[in-house]
Amino acid sequence: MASLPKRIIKETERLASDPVPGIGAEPHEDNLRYFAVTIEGPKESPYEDGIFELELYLPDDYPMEAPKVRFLTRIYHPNIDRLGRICLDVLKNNWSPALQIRTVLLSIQALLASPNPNDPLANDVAEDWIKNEELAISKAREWTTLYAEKK
Amino acid sequence: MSKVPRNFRLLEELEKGEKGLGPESCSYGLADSDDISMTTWNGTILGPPHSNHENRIYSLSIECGPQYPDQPPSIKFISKINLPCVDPNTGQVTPSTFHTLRDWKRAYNMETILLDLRKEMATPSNKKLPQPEEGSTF
Amino acid sequence: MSDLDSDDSLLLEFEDDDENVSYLDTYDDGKPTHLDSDFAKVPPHKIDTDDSEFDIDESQFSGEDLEDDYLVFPVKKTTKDLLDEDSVPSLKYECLTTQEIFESMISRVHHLQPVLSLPSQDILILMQRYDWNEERLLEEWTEKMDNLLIESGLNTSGESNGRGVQNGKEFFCPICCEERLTETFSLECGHEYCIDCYRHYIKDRLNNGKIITCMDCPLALKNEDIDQVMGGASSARLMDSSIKSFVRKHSNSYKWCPYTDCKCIIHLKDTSSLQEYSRLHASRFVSCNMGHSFCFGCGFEIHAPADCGVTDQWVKKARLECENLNWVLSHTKECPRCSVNIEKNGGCNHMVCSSCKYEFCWICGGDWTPHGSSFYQCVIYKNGEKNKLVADTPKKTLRRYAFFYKMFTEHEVSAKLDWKLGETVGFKVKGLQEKIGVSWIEGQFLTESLKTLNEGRTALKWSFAVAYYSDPSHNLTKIFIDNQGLLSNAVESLSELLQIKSPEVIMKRKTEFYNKAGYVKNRTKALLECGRDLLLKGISKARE
Repeated sequence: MASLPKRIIKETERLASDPVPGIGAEPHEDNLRYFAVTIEGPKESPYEDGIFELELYLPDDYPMEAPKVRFLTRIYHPNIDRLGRICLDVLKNNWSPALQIRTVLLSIQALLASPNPNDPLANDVAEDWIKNEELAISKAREWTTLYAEKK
Repeated sequence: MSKVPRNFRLLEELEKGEKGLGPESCSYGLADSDDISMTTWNGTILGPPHSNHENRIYSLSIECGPQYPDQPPSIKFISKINLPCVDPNTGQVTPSTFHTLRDWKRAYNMETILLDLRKEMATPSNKKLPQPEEGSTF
Repeated sequence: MSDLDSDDSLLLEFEDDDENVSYLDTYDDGKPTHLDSDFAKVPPHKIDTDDSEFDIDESQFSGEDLEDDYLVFPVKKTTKDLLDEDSVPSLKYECLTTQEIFESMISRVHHLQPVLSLPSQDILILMQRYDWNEERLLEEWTEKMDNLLIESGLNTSGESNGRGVQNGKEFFCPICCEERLTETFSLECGHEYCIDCYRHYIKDRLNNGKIITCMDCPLALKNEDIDQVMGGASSARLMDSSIKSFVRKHSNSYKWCPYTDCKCIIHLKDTSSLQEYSRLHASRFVSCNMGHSFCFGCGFEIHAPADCGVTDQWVKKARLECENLNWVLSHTKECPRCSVNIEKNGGCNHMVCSSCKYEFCWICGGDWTPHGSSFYQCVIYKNGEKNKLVADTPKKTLRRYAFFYKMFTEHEVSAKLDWKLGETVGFKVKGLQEKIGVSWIEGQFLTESLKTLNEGRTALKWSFAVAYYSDPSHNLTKIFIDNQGLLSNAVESLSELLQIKSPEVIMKRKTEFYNKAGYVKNRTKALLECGRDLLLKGISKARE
């Protein structure tokens, strides 16, 4: 395998030495481009007290191409589908090489704090969200307890 | 080239299947759209022309284990078929008699398998094999 | 102060970029632009047109004024013209290239300059942001003024850093995290990166047709920045992709020519006549400057007498059924008499077995004698008649469809082969000139005949889609089928004539070419009119 680009080495080092509060990211030993990620649910959101597992992969063209990220923990959120795929602009059109793994993960955390049902990936969830926000939020809370409970 | 991890590889395959970018003669998709581990998949093969399989649609079940794509998936016909590389009792495609599974490479994917199985149905020695009644299952 | 001098830099040569707009790229309105069965993958004209010999002939062929002098039957040129004779309003359109559209945009930039008093490079950015819509730009400008500049990444006031490429120095680039001796680039914002990262970044975005900004803030890169970093006229590629996305977004009035490698764009100047077209079941056929004709409505090849609705249904149906029916696409058949394998190498359906000399019809496999003389029987499908190929299919409807599909594809295959034949026609014309001193103009009747043959074949092909959806018991349907037979006969006879190789024989039979081509034209016209009648009266209707 080709040697790891300096950029990835640097980011990995910084994630370890200067971690982002509420976010963990560690590369797999056998694939240093593949990270195991945890994100704590933001306070005062229906995801509070949940710990969500994600996976992140830096494709060959990173940082010119955005990282690929997916939730492994089930989550009830209008911008995250049943397979954990995320609809987030910085992961798609608005990616810039000046962004980093940490900024992406922070954006995902922010997405948990403020769901955007008008730009949905999970259509059924978004519909619930628009129709009855209160109910949707309580369901999101329920799922958090069910699937993302701290161990 | 770095190694794309299993899950992201399967997501790529899923997207290709969902968008219908693959060939018309076979298709595949997740058996359960809630299955976050993306293990069980359904596949179909349209029987090749000029053979006893012509106009038949074969359903298959594909299991992509945790070692996929380093290890081949396990694949099984649901529709009854008479083919040397398929176990006549269970419908399981036996890796020892099917070269794509036997000589598996990481670059192969589910589409490779389905297309190669279709080719297998069309080989001169296999295409005229008598086939069980259409619609029967293992 | 005028900035006109620097405007020359805007008029860049467009690179011949290799990324042609693909079929699917071009139309995202959900209409099928191609099919997956063999016949639809490649419109017949798309085959082997890269043959330069033939290209020349095709482009020279646009001398319309020649035809009246050289055709015994003065008939109009395209199917579009044939339809125009009726009450359908004529279509006003022009054929442009992205370069031409860009140039007209540049002239608008010049017009805007005195109004906005901004450098033209900046106006160009604003125009891109507003999708080349100057009215909207002016509106927003009056409302927002300076805010508009900020939003568009053009406000650099308060920024003090230099803009442009900096000479080589020891530099740590925050993108690749390499520290080395390198050139760098930054805008006034001071976000500085090594030249390699900037090049990679810009290169990935040149084909997106969107304004490229600094990697870390909304400041826009102007064309001169792009050219400075990338070298050469790279910004032309960005402009090209921006115009392409403009065309895509205005698909009501702009359409790409769907032919492979063709860079023409048809701009419909007057969209008001469109409703009239659909009311009359006529289709809006247009031709680009390269001589490719297609339907503006659905982006498909010329499909008269079928309208877009019938075409769409037919194409969808064919896609569904093609796997069941792929037997019809085979190119080889066994001689019905001696079973030698015969490959069809010309468009003509009149086959002669190379081994036993048996003459037969490619479509039905029967003896040719009854076909050649009076009537071309293969277009009549009799419900009771047992067709050998489809006898095993249980459903009667599938059998009925199978027949029409088979006829359609046979003519498709023939059309492709005719087109190949066309390449040799180019050589034949040359041969006429070189061997027996015929002038180029005089030799044009061959090319003209070929074009007529193609138009006839295309009409014939699509007539089977119309026929399939027609009420078979209606008298007009019967007349339509009779017309198919007559055109079929005419087309086969002309196709056969075009197989002649010897230049002397060709010249000797010149009048025959005129006559047969003229006859095909008249028959084509009759079939098209009759088909349109079927649609107008609702006897033929697109349905699932």
